[in-house]
Amino acid sequence: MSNDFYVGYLPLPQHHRRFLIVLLPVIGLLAVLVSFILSSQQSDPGDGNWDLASTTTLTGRVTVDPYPILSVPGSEGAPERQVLLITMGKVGGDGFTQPVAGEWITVTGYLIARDGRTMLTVKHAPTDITVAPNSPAREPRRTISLGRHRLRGEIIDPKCYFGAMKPGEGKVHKACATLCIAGGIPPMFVTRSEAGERTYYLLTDSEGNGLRGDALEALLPFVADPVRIEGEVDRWGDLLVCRMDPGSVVRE
Amino acid sequence: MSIQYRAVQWNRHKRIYDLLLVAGVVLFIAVFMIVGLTRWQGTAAAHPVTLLMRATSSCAITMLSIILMIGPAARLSPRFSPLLYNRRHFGVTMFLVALIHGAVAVFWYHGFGIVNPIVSVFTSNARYDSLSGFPFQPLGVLALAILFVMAATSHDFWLKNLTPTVWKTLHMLVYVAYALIVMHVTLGFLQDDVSWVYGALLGGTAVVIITLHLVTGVREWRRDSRDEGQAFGEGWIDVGSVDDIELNHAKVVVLRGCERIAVYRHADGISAISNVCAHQNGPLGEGRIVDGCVTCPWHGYQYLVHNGQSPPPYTEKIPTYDVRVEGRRILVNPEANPPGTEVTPASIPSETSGDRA
Repeated sequence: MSNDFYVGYLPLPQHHRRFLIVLLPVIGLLAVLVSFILSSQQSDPGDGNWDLASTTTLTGRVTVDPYPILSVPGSEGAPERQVLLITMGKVGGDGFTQPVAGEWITVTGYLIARDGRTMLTVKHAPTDITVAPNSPAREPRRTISLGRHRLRGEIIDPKCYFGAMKPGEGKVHKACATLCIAGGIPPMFVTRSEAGERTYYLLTDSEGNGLRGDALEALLPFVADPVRIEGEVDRWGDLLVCRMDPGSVVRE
Repeated sequence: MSIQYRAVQWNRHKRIYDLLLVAGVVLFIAVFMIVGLTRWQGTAAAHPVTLLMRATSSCAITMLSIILMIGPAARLSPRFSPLLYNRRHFGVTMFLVALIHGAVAVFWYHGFGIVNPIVSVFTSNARYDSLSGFPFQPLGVLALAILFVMAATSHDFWLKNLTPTVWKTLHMLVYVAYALIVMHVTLGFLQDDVSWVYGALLGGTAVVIITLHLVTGVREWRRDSRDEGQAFGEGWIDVGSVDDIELNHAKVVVLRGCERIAVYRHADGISAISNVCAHQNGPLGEGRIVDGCVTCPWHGYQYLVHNGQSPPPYTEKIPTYDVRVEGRRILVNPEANPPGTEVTPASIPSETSGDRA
């Protein structure tokens, strides 16, 4: 038989052996190099964090309109902290906050935080929620109107964007963000300045109500896309809120 | 060659091939994960699940690219034949890595919600009317479905029962799967704010694959044009001189513009058989005569040169052709005999015979 003809079940001819001794390490090195390049070129996943190693306990007034939010008094003159309340999975906090709506509560959960914005993931409701006996007097929400604004950016689900996904933005994450928002996670809007500074806005309808039903359906197709919105911006404590018409979102 | 079905007919080469394959996959994913986990740490770290999803997708597409290069590379140079021999295991392994990517992506992006994850893959982004916004995940699912069918039928049981023609056609869908995967990446990951390196690597690899196939195709087209048989009297075709063929080698000739045959020169003279192996349509004319049998260069399937039958107990058969030698010219009857038909080899006149090998 010819000594340079390869047959898989016969001994490897010398001619092929010499070639493979060079070829296989080259393929291996190329694979390692490709893997290294692909991994090292990944974009910065952001500095959001979902701390599942330790729990955080907060006390404040819980409201469910427009969304489940815990208003925590600021210390030493700092503005009131508005902490969005959610639960595990791609589900909002409507279910476990309704029974304690308007109450002064102490709640324990896992904190999600990015750029100073926080959310609390309540895993074991209602066990992790207690209505505090000595609550301060109820006060109307302090709202500061900042006027009408046109904003360019992306509609995000804050749970993923603030640290659950890493990264939780853009087209690859669009399906997940849509599911999260459809499941009750409050929609937010993020803008980026030329310097890269991010600003977050909680989205409500024009009347300041939470986006649900048809209003939410109108918003969902635009989630995670580069879009432009226009609305009235208010400040509630440390939280910016944009009251907008969900039917007026324009894709950029 | 087989007379009974086994999950894998192991031999030394397959074991070494598979060991290197698995080691390569583990190394690729390990390097990706380690680099990803060490580049950003603490609160700035990327999520390990996201990294795993990216590592497996990168590995699978790299493997598929190599798989698609092996075929034409082996046609251009027989030195790549050892890579071709066990390519089936390469393909199944690639499918398993792609399956991990798909499963993790569906679990991660579509799980934990209020919609069935599989339904969500097809409905969570409804922008089917937009190119840049096109839902890329269904493209990946479709590609994975094709790869699944290919992996599930990557066995001689299916090859035999589907027939080699149907099986080969089915497995040519790998090109559709590759196109879907390129679109999956282009309309998905590349739409986000990512490094230009990804697009360059994806595009560059596609260019290499297409070029290799084009070069191979042009080379074969030229060879077919050069080696087309010429009519010789009524019912016979002149396919060249016996002196064109080395002992135990073949010349591939095109009959009537479309049908390739392998004309072998061997110890008993000249024989002509179909160029198409009954196993996976391998090019028998690029094989050799080993132990008295025509041996396919792809997987070593063998046929007796005078009747196109695999030696007992094997049962594969291929068509044979009537052949005669006039002077130094080889004449072939273009009408194929039924597979396995005995044909007496044409003797080479003794006064001019002489082995060139």
